[in-house]
Amino acid sequence: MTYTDEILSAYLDGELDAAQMSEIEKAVLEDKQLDARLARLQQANDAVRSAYLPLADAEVPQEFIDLVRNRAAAPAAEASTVVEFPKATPRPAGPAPFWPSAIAASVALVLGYSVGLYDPFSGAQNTDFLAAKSISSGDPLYAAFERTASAQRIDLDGTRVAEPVLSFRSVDGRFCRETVVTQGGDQTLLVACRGDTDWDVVLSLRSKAPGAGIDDGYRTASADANAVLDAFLQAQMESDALGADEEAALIDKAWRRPDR
Amino acid sequence: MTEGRGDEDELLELLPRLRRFCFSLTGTWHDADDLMQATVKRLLEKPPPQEVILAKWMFRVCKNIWIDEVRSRKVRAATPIDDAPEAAATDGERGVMDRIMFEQVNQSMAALPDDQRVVVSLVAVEGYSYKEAAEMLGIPIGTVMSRLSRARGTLADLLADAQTA
Repeated sequence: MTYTDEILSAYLDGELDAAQMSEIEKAVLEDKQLDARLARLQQANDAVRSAYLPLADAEVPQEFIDLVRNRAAAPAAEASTVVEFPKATPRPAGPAPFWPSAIAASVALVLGYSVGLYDPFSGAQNTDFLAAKSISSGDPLYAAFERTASAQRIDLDGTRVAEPVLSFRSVDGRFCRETVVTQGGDQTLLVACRGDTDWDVVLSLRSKAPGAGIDDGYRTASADANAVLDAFLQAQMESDALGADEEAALIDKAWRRPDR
Repeated sequence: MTEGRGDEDELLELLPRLRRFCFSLTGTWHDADDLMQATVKRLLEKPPPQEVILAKWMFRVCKNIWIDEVRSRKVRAATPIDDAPEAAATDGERGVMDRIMFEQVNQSMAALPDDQRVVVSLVAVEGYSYKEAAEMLGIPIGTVMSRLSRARGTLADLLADAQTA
C-alpha cells in the first residue's frame, strides 16, 4: 500500500485516526522507502520548529507593551488629541493601512512625537503645519522625492539620510511619497506631493527626545503618532501604495500625471 | 478591550507568540514588528467577540492583515532586503551552526507560497490542530492538510539543497 505525503504529514501531526496511525507505524517498520519519506518530512518539520520556536523567547519591544497598556488605560482620549486633517474622501471601510514605516514611527512613540511642519535643514519649526512648504530642485531633499526609489537610501549632505518609504496616488490626483529623513537619533517623516515642478510637504512628523520643548507651540500627539499617520494616509491615499514598477516608471517620467 | 480585567493582560502574555508568528510570516524583525504593530492596534480598536479564544482571534487578525495589506504593498518586497543582520540579532545564544541553520530555514520558509507558510506557522510552530487552523483560516481541513504536506515537501527539498550546496 502506498501512502501520500498528505497522509504521512498528517501522521506526523498525529491527525489520523487510531487505526490509520498504527497502520502506518507498522508499514514504516517494513518499508524502508516509506521510512525515508517520513524521515524527510519529519526533518523538515523539526528544522522549522527548532528555528522558530525559540523566537517567542525574544524580548518584546517595550513599545508594544506600552501600546497595549496605554490604549487599554485611555481608549477614547486619544482620538481627540490627534490633529484633524482636512477631510478627503475616506477610503472604503476595510483593513487599516499597514505601513512599512510603522516601526519608525513606533520607535518615536516611545520618545514622544511632535506634529508640525519641520524643516529638516534649518531646524526651524513651523507650527502652521498645513502651510505648504515646497521642496524645489535646489533642495537636497528634492532628489530623494524625485528620483530615489522606495527603500533606497540617499545621503543628503553627509549627516542626513533620506529613505523614501512608499509612493501613492492621492485623492486629489497628485502623486505623493512618504520619506523618512534621519539625522543622528532624530527622525522626520515627511509626506510630500508632486506639484507641477516642486514637492509640497503635506505632513511632517518629527521624533524628539522627551523634555525637549514639548510645549513649544506644537501640538503633540504623544499617545500614538501612528494614529496621526494612519489617519492622514487613510484620508489621502486613493488606493494602495504604488508597486515598484509603477514607481520606477513615474520616476522616469518625472511624476507626470496621466491626466495632464 | 474594555471588558475589565483579563483581556489586556492576556494580550500582553500573548505578545511573544504574536511576534514569533509575525516573524515566521515576514522573515525579518523589521517587517514582523510592522505587522505586529498593525495587529495590536487592530486588536485594541476592535475587541474580539465574546467567548472567542483571544489567541486564535489574534492569529486570525494578524494573518488577515498580512494577507490583505502586505501583499498589496509590493514596493518593499520588490527591493532586496538584507535581513541577515536582523535574523542574526534574534538569537545571541545560538551557535554558529544554529544560525546557519536558522538562515536556511528562514529562507526556505520565505520561498513558500504565502498560504502554505501560514499553515506551517500555525500547525508546526504554534501547535494548532488541523481543525483549529482550518477555523482560523476559514478553509477546509483537507486544504490545511494538503498545504501542509506540500510545504513540508518543499522545505525538505530546499533544506536538502542548502545542505549539499
